[in-house]
Amino acid sequence: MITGESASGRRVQRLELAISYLLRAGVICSLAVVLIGIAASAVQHPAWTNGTVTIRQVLSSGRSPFSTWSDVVAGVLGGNGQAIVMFGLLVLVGTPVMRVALSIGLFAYQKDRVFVAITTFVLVLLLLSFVLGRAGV
Amino acid sequence: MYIAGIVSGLLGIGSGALKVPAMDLAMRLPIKVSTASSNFMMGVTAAASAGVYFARGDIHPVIAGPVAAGVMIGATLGSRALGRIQSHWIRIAFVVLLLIVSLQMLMHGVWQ
Repeated sequence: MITGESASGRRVQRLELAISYLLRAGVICSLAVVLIGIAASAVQHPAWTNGTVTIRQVLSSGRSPFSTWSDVVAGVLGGNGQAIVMFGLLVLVGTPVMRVALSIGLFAYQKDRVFVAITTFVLVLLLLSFVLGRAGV
Repeated sequence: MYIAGIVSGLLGIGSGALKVPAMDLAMRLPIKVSTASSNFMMGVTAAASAGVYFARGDIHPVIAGPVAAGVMIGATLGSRALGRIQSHWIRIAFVVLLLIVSLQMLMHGVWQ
């Protein structure tokens, strides 16, 4: 976005910079958690890393063992490496959602009603898709 | 763009291959703006799809974990490089990539 030399222009630039740092922090957190989870999984399932089991066999059960938040939290608290990976992935998915939410605040600060409306619409759609995702399962 | 979204959710591709040409050719945006905007759009739309896949138990951490880690590292390096390469080369790279991906899809679809 093009901002002017005015004090509020610089303020907006700093806010946009803050949002981008938060996004990057989110991705770095997610990457760290996922790598930790992969390491933990390698330790907990040595058969996966020394070639005695194939990917197809591991996935043969069809549905992933993690499909709700309670599954993931219970798994993480129990130290399950796969659950930790899943948690990292959920953090990653949450990053753009957070970015959209923060953008609403930024556009509201700039008194840009059209984009506040558009961005709120996007956020509502995102949250709806999370809620409605279970339909028919 | 609407088609891009439907294709993305249905096939699981980012559909950047549809959005970038749309922005570059039809809207005449600078190519770097197109690729960066397309990337951001994919992040948001992928988040929506991911929520649905997760609820249906379609995300297997065995595969998704290493893929996500690799993509995060690669994407960081790639977007850093974006600032330093001339737009001319980015367009060429994109065309080459499109060709490879189309050929691959064709082969998978026809010669299963």
